[in-house]
Amino acid sequence: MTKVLSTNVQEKSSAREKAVSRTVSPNWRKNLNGFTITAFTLAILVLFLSPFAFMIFTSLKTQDQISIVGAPIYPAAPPKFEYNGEQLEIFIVPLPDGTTKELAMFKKGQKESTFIDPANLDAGEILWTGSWRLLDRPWEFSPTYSNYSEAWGAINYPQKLWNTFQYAIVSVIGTLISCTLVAYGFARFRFPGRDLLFIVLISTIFLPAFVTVIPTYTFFVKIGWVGTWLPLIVPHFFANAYNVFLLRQYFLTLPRELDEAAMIDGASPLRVLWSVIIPQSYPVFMAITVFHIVFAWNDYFGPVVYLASAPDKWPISYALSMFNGIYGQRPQLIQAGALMALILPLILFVVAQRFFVQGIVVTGVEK
Amino acid sequence: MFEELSNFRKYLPSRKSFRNMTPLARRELKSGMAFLTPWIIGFFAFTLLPIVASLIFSFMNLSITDGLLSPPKFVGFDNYVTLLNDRQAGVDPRTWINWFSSGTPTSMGVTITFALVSLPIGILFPLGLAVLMNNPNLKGKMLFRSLFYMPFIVPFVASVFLWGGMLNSETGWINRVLIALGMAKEATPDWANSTFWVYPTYTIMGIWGVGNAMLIMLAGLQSVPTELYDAATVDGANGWHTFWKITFPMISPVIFYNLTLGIVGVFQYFLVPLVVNNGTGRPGGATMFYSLYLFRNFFTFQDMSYGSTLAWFLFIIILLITFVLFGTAKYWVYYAGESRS
Amino acid sequence: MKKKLLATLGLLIIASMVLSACGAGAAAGPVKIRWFVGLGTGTDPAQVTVQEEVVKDFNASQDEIELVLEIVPFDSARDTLSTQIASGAGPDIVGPVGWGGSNDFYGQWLDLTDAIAATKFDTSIFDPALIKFYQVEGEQVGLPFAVFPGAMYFIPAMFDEAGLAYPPQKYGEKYVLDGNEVDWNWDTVTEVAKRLTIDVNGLNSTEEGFDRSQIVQVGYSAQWQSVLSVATFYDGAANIYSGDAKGSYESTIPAGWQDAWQWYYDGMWGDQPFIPTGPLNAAPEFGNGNAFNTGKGAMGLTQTWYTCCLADLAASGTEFQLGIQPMGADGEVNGRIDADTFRIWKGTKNPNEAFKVLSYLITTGGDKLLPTYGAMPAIPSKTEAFFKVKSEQYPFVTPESWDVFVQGLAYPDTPSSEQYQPNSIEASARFATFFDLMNNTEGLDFEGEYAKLVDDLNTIYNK
Repeated sequence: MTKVLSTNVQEKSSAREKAVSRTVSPNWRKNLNGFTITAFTLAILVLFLSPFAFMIFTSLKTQDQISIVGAPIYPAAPPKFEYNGEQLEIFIVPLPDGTTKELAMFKKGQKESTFIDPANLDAGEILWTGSWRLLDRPWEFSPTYSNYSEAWGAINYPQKLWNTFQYAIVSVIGTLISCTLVAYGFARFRFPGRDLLFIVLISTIFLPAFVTVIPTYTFFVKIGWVGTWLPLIVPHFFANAYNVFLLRQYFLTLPRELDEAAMIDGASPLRVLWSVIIPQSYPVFMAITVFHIVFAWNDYFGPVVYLASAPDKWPISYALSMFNGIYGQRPQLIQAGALMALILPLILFVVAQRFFVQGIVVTGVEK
Repeated sequence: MFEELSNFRKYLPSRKSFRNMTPLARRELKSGMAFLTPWIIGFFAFTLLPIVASLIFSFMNLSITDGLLSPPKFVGFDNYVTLLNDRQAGVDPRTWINWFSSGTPTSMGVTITFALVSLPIGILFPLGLAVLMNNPNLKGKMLFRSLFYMPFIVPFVASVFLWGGMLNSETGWINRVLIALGMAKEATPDWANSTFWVYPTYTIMGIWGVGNAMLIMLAGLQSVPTELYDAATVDGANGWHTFWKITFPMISPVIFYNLTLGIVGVFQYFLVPLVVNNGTGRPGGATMFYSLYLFRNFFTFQDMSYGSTLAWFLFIIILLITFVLFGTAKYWVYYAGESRS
Repeated sequence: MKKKLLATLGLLIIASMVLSACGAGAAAGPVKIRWFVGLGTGTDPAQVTVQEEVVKDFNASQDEIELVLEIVPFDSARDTLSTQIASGAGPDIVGPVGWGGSNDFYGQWLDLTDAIAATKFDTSIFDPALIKFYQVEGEQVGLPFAVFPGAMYFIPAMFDEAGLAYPPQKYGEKYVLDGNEVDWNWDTVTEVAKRLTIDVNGLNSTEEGFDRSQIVQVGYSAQWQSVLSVATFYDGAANIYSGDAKGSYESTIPAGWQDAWQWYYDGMWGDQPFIPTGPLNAAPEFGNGNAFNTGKGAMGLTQTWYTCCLADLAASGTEFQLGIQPMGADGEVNGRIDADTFRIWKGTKNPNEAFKVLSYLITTGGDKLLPTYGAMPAIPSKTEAFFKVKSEQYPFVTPESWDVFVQGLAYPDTPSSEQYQPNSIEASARFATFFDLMNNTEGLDFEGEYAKLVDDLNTIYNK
């Protein structure tokens, strides 16, 4: 057992094989207090997700609430008092006798202002000297949900989400199949020129995508694909460098002993891929699937270039960017719109996670 | 074709035999190429033409502003000569170093500086998170994973507004917290407007969307058999030792992946400075990243030829780095499944 | 083996080339005309709906032409149009687009003279001066459609609070400051704006103890104006370059413009600030650059199109009115007029059909389009309908206020502050960088940066 700690390849591979054949053994980390580690993670999470609080609070504010300097960070509004058909703001005004009272602002002035007392209208106008900007206000929690309905109304969410959903699903299937095949080819076969081809594959992502957009667009115009989903979907069925690279790296961590055993049993390479490699690769498929869904969700310049003339085909990213361009000065709507667009991919993420974790359990790869 | 491939195994016993190497190599080539076919077709159908076209552009004077309607001409290496003398691009390595002292920083210098700041964090932070997420004692793993992943899904524009609100030097939440903790208002960071803070600002924005890298690292960690850890425990190894001797080698291919893509990403970094600092390079040229400069030439100034020239220089730089990186791989990347004959 | 492989690859290349060469077969039926929207206004969902209606109306009115609408978000419209044009697949009609957006594609616009003659379009419905406005180097590259004169937007309640008189609403009227009649010039605006710039303690910018790090209200903002526009308002329109060929171009920014920018810079970063700095303007509290709309700016100098974006201000119960544009040091009013129209791409295969669409859009179609764009019609008989729509939107704005826009038509900036410059895009980008630097840098070496700007411009012009 002492040899396991060495970097000896042989030792590791055999230990690895044992793992796949699923031996249950005690875990040294059980000694660690689960509570401590969870609390620690929770603390990081709270820091990490604090921007979401900003996002949610912003989405629940009116433009007015965002604008008030010195307002609480949560959606809050000063209470108002209706007087002769006008909405007067309430302030906490210090009185000469040292007490404070909630008064309604009747007339603003830089040096002195007049108030009325909502509880005692008969007192008439009360003149107060000083800058009203220094006065506190009795803030009330006051969320505005209408941003969501407004954002919902400005974008045809069901149609756009459905477009995006179809795009995401079709292209994720294409990517998974094609990239798995290609990565398998790179990871498990030795032939002259393989490494060169691999560098060629990787190098296709070295040029920034926008540099090749003009010839690509010209090509798709010429074959008549502009205005359809084809330029955005079909290429995904022919593998891409990002995912092939990732899958190749992952496949290379899998020991060959199982492949070779299967081959000795008469399995074809495709069979080996299907019943030996894929079952061990659920975590990475999970990573690729969710990554690709998010990519499809936010892919924006492609649809803009190819689908400008087909509004009924626009994905949610297109609609959102249009929306963001128009409401650039209204962050509350942008955040509400973004939060609503976030929900579906998040659900897909959770579902994908469950699906793949189940797959791992069934096939016996330790998660 | 696949029936043919199924006979593959009969060559296995004679693997080491020199006499049979040639047919085996042929079989391997056939099978390998068969699996590569989807990519090769796609490469010729969709990828190669645009790449070659952009290379050709770099030898022409193609620019919309000059009126595309008159046919563009070949200008030989003119664009490349311009590039070598372009101080802003900074392709001369002498301009990369000490750019703080030599006036406006060059784009290549900015890019390399930012890479040095952001790349290590961009690797270590998701790795740390993944280790945490993989801890068997962690309760509610699924929930944690989902929540740490969530920021990655936020659309870019929304996240820019979000960070604009968090990091605004006048009213941002982070500065409000700092003031609440007792910092003087004048002492709070200027974030995206300060030459010192702008890279940390971008790095913070970057690690917020780290969910995907975390997931990839996690996938790598999950492929490490627990037996290895058990054995190490029996052996009395401490956590740090276990990490270096077992975890790191086992996930090194995945780290290698993240590192390579991180380098490609940082050399192509332009969207954040374009939106957050208006693409003007403010403050003091510290955000005029190479790819931003490229984008400005290509789309903003519509000089497709010079833009392509800048892009091809970038291509060569990344290619060289990749070669070096792949060359180092044999010293630190451990492939359990790579046959070592 | 290798040979076979190479042959296959070669075949694939040839196949893809052949594929790219053909495919663009001409279809029979109506001529398809593409209308590209995105360089200016026109991407708001409500506007999209109206534009779709106009397209439907047009297609129903005849059967020779099929008009197709393409909507692209503003942020990526320039890149998308570049891509289309560079691919030789540009749209037939582009618009609405202003001078700035058009200059980005200088040389790409069709001279309409032939099409006007061929379709016998009656141009006498426009003011001849406006027709001339669209003649560039002897070519008629556009026809008048929408005009946007400028005005000083202001919030009366803030003036009330500070005890200040409102800006005048008739050109030639004086302003009353501390009981004295003074000209409504930039000195007056500066003084008034300082008194309307308030910190968190309620002190204004001219008072002892004013806390510049906690400004809650600013006196003045140049709402969505460029650095050239700021100078034009302050010192008047000017030719900013001279020369007529590469090598001879030279920047000729007048000294008065340099003063204008120095004034603007001091207004942000000087001892008594009254203009929001870049960071302040970018704060969510200040509407991410839309300070006036958040009710945090007492005055905002901008054009008619800004009425597009004041819904939040109106919704929060804050009323605004319109005052006249200030006069410069020489006593002349330095107004500005923006103008949007439709352009035809030079590469169009069907110029006459495209022009038929264009002439429809600027006349009949304009009745529906102009109100939704928030644009004042270039055809004088149609302005009444425009103000009717605007009054419904902002019922509190007085007729005297709306009239300021009509008066503003007498104060165009010639040449426009969005005038063409050699190597236009790069030169504009250089100006934008200068403005960005001013807005965001405290303690800027203004003289040095200005000298650098002029230097760079001279290089850019002659590139």
